[in-house]
Amino acid sequence: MTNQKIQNYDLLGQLLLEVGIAMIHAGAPTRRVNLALVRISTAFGCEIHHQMSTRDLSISLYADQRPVFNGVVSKPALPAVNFQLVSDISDLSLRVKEERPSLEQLESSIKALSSEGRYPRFFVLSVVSLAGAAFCFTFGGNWLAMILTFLATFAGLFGRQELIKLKVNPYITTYLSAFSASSVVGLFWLSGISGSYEQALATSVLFLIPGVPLVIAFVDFLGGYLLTGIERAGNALLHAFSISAGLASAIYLFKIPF
Amino acid sequence: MEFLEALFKGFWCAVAALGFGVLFNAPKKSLWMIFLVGFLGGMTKFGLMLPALGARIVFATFLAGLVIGFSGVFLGNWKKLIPMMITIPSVIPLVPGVFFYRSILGLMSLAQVPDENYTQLVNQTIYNGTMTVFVLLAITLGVVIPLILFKLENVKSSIGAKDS
Repeated sequence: MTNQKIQNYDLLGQLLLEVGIAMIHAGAPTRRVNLALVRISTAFGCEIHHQMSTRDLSISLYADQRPVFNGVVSKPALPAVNFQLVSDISDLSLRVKEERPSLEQLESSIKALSSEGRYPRFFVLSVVSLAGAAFCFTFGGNWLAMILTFLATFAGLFGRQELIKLKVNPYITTYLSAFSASSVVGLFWLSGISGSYEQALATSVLFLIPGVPLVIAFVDFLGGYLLTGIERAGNALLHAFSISAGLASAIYLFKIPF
Repeated sequence: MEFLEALFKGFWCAVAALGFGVLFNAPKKSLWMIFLVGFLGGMTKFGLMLPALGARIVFATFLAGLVIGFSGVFLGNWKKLIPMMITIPSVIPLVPGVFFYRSILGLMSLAQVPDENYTQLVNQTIYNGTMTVFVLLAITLGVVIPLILFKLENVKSSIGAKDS
């Protein structure tokens, strides 16, 4: 009986680690991750103590004042914001709190979550490229610049998706994507067709901006989670730096004078 | 006529917001809200910057951020979604892209032996850099303030008020 219990706590611990790190990587504020972990562990009669950063999560579970599980998971963060996953896990934690499913049911729901997909790749590419063109318009670009931005974003995002698949360092991924996107504009500039290249160049890299880490850093700061907030802000800053470096390299390479 | 232009720009902001919603894999049922909130934000920013009102860009962006933040929290609580998923993609079209670009360009051209135009270059680069930082701060605070004020980010979580 005792063994059975310990085995169960092991499974619960592993599931909590899996859910927690998935939420952190999908771009959830620390408070929400905390909430989901507490809800699930409380539903199974455990008290949870945890320590998290943006790439590590360590938890200790206590049942009846007795430690029953200690575990840690460490996973390098890849740029993969996934709001659907955050929403699903958040809903799941509420369901667990209300319906008290068995551990096996929880396990199968978590497995079902991880197999849920994203939008089709070509759809993402076209909609995000359209967003780039829209950006270009709001910054005062003309139709030619909008088409250029569309193409540049398409090329840059395609490259980024490939680099993410190859598990290249996230900052190098951002640098190379920014470089390839702005190079597309640079190549057109070399062709000598006149147009508003400034807007096209400025907006071609905007699909890379680290909006989620930046906003969540502030959510964390104001929620009192200073350490994770600093990590996220540092991460956002490094991505912004990588974008600047990529853009600067293209400007330098094509000797663009504006 | 100018008002129509602000409407048109608001529409394109909404298209950009939708693109970022898809990029961040926002749930399907939240996409129309992202489009709507993005439109409201873009309209607020460009509407306030019309010559008739003449608001400066940082102030206009901050108010647009607040509009996005509050309408996102409202819609999210109504449709039982996490408001952050609506507000973050919607606010991204307001980023200071051109200021950012010009400050990088300025920094690059500062790396040279100073000539008679150097002071002007320094001034312009500092101006562009400062505007980038301030517009970014305006956006971030505009979105974060409503999220913090309505800490019940999700109506359903009121059931679990004890565990927060």
